[in-house]
Amino acid sequence: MGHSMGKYRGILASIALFLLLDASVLMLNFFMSYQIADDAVGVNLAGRQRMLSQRMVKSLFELEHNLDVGAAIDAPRTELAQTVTLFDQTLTAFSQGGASTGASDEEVILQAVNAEAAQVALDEALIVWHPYRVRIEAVLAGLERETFDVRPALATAIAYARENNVALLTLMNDLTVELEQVAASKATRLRLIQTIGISLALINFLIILFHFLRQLRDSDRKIEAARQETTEILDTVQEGLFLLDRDLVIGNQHSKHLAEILGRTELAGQRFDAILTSLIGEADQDTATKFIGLLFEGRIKEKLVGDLNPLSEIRVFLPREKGVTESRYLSFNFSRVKVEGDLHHLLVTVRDITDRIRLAQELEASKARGEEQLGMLTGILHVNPALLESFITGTFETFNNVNQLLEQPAKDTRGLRAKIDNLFIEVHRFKGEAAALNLEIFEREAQAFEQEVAGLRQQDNLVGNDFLKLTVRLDRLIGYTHSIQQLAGKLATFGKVASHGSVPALPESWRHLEDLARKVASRQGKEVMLVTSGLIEHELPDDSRRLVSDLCIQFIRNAIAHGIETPDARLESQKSEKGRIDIRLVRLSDGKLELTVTDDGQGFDLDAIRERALASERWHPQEVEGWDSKRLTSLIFEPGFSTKIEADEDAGQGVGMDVVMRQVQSSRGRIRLSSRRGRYCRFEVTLPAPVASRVAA
Amino acid sequence: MAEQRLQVFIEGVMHYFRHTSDKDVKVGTPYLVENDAPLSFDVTGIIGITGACQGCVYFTAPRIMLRHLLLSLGEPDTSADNMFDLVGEVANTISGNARREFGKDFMISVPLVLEGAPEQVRLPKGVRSFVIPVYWKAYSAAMVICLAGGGQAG
Repeated sequence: MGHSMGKYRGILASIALFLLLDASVLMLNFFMSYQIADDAVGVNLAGRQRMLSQRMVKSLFELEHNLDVGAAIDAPRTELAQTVTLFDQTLTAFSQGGASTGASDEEVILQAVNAEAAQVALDEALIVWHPYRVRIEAVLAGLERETFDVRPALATAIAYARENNVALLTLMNDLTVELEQVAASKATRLRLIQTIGISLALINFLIILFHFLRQLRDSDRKIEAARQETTEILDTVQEGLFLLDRDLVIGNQHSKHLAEILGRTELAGQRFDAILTSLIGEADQDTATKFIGLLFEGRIKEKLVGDLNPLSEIRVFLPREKGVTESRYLSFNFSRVKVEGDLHHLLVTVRDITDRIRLAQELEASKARGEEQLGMLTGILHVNPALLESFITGTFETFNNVNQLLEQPAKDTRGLRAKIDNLFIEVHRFKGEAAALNLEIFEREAQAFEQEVAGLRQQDNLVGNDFLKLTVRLDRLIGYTHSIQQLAGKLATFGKVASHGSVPALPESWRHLEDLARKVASRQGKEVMLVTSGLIEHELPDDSRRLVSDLCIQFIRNAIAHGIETPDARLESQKSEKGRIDIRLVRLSDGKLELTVTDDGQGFDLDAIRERALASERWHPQEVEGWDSKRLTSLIFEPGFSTKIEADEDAGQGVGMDVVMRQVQSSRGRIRLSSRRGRYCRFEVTLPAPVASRVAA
Repeated sequence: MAEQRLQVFIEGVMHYFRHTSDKDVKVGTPYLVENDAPLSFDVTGIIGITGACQGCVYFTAPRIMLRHLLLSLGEPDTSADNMFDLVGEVANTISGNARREFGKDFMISVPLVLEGAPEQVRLPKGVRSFVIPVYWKAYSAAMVICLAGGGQAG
């Protein structure tokens, strides 16, 4: 308040001065008007002195005349006595100050006359008057005594009067004139003083007026400038700024960006809690409101509460066009605003920290991606880049096939079952390829996928919805493969640089078969030697090469799992410990390809096949009993049929040969098999001539 | 888990059709489409999703199916407006179900109904959408779910 008073100090002083001047003039006015009234009395009495001097003379003559004619002398005597007394009293009062009697017999106090000329007149009058009074008093005293003759005294008095009457009258006239002048001069002075006083007051008033108006205009200009500054600040500042009162109502002013940040335009005077509810939901709003309540409790330390701010980093959902909501991250900061120690408002600062948060999240994600890629890298590093690339291309084809299988409408159980079978084949084939390349990550995923499919196969009432988990898995695999592809792309560039741009040697593209044979054999506790011919010699288009590779993979897997015996068993049968798989690829004269895969294992165990067929309860027992060896061996191409009791990674799902059959059929090829119990098993696949284009590099 | 999330949306669409006179609605086997070629029939009802997952879910159906569906609901007026309302209602049921199941982690917008496919802008790039075929009587419609971030990748 002291500060705001300072602004008005000047104007207050001016007004006080104005009032003081007015009051002074007024008081002077009072004082002077009293004096003038006094002077008027003086002038009046002085005038009466003139009259009294003449009345004295008249009374003396009347007395003389009455005495002469013997008339009554009471009236002139009384008149003379009264006149003398009144004249003397008034003269003394003028001269020394004192009481006198007014025109209406009231007592009047006169001040001693101090005007110089009047003083002179008075002094002279007193000199004239004293002898005069003595003579008249002698007359009056004589009249008191009955017997005394007053004529001589009267004659003396009259003689004195004759001599001095005019002088006394003149003196009294002088006195009157003088007193009149004094009064007149006082009135003039009073007018002057009044004029000066009022002029001063007027000047003062004008000063006040101009000064005050200028100050008013100055302060208006300052206020306008300040308002302009505030507006500029509020319009420019990137943060959302506003004041919040105890009732959680937003103040009338807020920064321009606030509307943008909060995604709404009407904010002034709105309830903050209602806005929060729409941004972050009821529960979070409640927490936030409680926190704000704490801030308004002055006794709690601001720093202490500050750490609890639930809105320091909060995700909000802003309504955008067409019913879309956008997720942003906002940071609300609350500061107490104290005016003279009183807490009325909180200053709220809102910042959009979405970019910062997103950046942090991206960093986090890229770190995670980096780690994941490192894991992938170790998983694919051992594979030849060209081979890996080819594998990935094949993988996407597989995924495409799987997705197409899923997409095909199947409204009944039978359709769904067929779909499962086809899916199984695709995935199993893929698993084989992954295993052949020793790509464990893919093999694992494929194995899991395969198990899901196998699980569905067991299910009685299939509905479309049951396939959802497969679709989800497929989606994830696609995403995963994309990552691998990117990584492989980078790897390939490295590889090219390292090997001076030379393409990998042909045998390397088949080496995975050896790896697969070795791996499967060691898993199965067997020993195997792989002998190939024709693979390297024939340059094949990519798709043919992949098909041959796929078939080889399945045959090798099948041969080791079903054909080749354990080393002990082989020794017992007088065979070498190490089993042998022969793969031979030849180009026939008509351009067709012939792939032969022979293993020196136990051949087909027809009895075991028959047993499994019976156990599967798919066919009537009598029908099975009647089947010949050809029909029995053909069972190995039936989906879901396997002679292996315990399913493992390499066999037992009953899909391997099924896959082979489908692949051969879909490429319009033929397949033949021959076997001799205890000696060998041979698959002979004839494939149409490959299209000459797109020969593998 | 992505699968459970998708299941919630499937439940939503099933829930709607269970209220029709012909309750025989079937869900086909879900499959994937790339977002640069979004699947759509004649009328599409979209709900936008933000929060833990970002993207959208839409129900799309051919006019002929909607006409039949309106009639089977006892609505003889099969004008375009009514078809739009119907698709909006299906989308609403889906979003209502999702809202109930997911709670506040998901912010689900009010449905927007339009003709044909949703604009590319609504579909997150670099991910695929799940297509859930919906068979009702002899007709095929579809629900398409496209969620990025925590939805499919995990």
